[in-house]
Amino acid sequence: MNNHRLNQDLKLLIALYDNTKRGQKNVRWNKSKIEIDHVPMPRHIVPLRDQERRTCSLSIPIPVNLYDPAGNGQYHYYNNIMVEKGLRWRRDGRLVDIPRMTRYEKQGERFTWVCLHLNLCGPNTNIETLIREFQRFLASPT
Amino acid sequence: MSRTVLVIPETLMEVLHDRHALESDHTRDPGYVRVAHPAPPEQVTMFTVGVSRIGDRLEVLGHRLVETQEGDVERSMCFARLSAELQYESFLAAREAGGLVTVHHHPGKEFFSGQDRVALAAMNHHLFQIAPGAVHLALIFGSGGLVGEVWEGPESVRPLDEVRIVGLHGLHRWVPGNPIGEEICRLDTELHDRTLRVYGREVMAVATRLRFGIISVGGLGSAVCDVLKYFGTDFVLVDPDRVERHNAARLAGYRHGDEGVPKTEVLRRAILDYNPRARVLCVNTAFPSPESIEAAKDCDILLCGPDADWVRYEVNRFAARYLKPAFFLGTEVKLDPEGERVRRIVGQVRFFVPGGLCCVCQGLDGVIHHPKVMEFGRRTGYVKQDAAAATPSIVTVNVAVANLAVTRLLHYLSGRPAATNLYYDEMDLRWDNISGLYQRRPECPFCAPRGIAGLGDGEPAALLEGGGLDESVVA
Repeated sequence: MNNHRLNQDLKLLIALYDNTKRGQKNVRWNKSKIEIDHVPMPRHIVPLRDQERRTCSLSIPIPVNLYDPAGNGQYHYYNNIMVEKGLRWRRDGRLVDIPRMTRYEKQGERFTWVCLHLNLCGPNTNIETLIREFQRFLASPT
Repeated sequence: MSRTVLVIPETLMEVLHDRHALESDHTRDPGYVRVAHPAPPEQVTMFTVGVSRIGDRLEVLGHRLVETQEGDVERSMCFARLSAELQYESFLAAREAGGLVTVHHHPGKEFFSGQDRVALAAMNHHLFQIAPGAVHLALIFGSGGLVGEVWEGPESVRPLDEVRIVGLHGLHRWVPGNPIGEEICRLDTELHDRTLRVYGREVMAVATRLRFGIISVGGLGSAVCDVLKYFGTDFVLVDPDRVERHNAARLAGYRHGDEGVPKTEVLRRAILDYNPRARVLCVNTAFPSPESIEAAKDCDILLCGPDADWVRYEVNRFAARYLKPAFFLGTEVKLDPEGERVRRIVGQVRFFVPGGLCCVCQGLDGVIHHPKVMEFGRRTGYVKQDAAAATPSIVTVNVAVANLAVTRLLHYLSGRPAATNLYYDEMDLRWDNISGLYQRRPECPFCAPRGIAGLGDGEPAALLEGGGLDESVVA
């Protein structure tokens, strides 16, 4: 794991999503300096179009080899996002489940998976690409 | 008794050879290192080191050469003076890594002269102001070998007791004051009579002196133990699991009724049944727990055959940091898409040795997640439930791959430079050396020149503080 690039990602997430006016911390991570397995983001704002809710909680699993070189100038990247269950999408005037999210839903679990499978990235890519990809999926989750 | 050991990668040792006109022949005589012909004018080499503390033993691990520019070193026939800029930069590098080694040579006998003492005192005064807590090892090569002193502060000094050279051509140990490198080793020549005729006394003597760390003693790890017990006498076994019924058909050393017993204890019993004088330490936690890290730091060679790539990745990182040669074993039974017919039964042995390619550069690829995330994946059905238990596996491929690894280990101890990546195909009954397929990734954090190799106990680059999360949301 490239801690330097991960720190840059955390700073970026804080700049983008923490609400300093209201004192809301919307980006969190483990306090441990040597181990980080996921970055939970409560109250993540989802695209307004056709969504039932304005916010949902996310948790971004951090691969242990995040940003390690993968050959050919590429680097290992985030793979998927855990999303709070219950997010629904309006289709033909009705609220329906988001298909790719319900596949892994289990009772008793608060989160489910959205597989984005970005896997590899370039030397200058940061977490914004993952969030943008996720927002794009929520804007049109088919 | 406290001991101080310098562990130095072969690649770094080669630089010392070139600069200080050293002469050695590791293959015939591990202890034979001396200045062949003094090469005036005087020369000084510096490299940063990491530190590994194991009880009261201090291991100083070679990390990175301090590069010098034209004009950094003023050289004459009898002294070399380092520029203030070079000293300051090297002290900063020592603060980051954990310590500094300064090397020079004498044309005659190796000893600390009065001039050396004065220069060392001045250097230590500044070094420990800039890098408090660092260590400074001063090495002097001479016609009879080398002498070294380790400083942990301006007033705290102790002699260097041992030098270990780790590299692709084997593990060599050198005890200063024992210039012929004579091994004092009690070897049961009657017991090992036939083996001695194959590998010779030197290899067997080295094998019986080494401490082997076997991380994960499941099907593969137990097979490794089962072969290695005929050569080694000192083992550290790391595995958190207990024996279950479905393990029995693949676990070497299993006896009827062992269900519920820690796997490490089963293997300990098997080793002691063969050799009651063997030393076996069981650590019943998962690598990299603090206990397993402490135990592994005291090992000379690591062998790991876990189910999860996450453990391999962590062992790879550990082996790079502490300059431990490490074998990474894996087997897989590949099924057809319907999951009914076996398509291939394969195994692989990857060998990382400091200075060579790490396990990641040899193909340990893909996204590797923390076990907490994998556990969540299992709970939600994203990762197949009980994937490890449900994976098909057979003892024959485990034994074949374990044999391949131990054979490669013996080749390594005998100094034969050979394969670092072996691929075994049980369906075709053949193995291939695929070492040539891989190249070092220039930015590899483990084995590239700017990587973490030799950093030892030094803290990795800290993560941003202040996340404000104490408990895992996922768990």
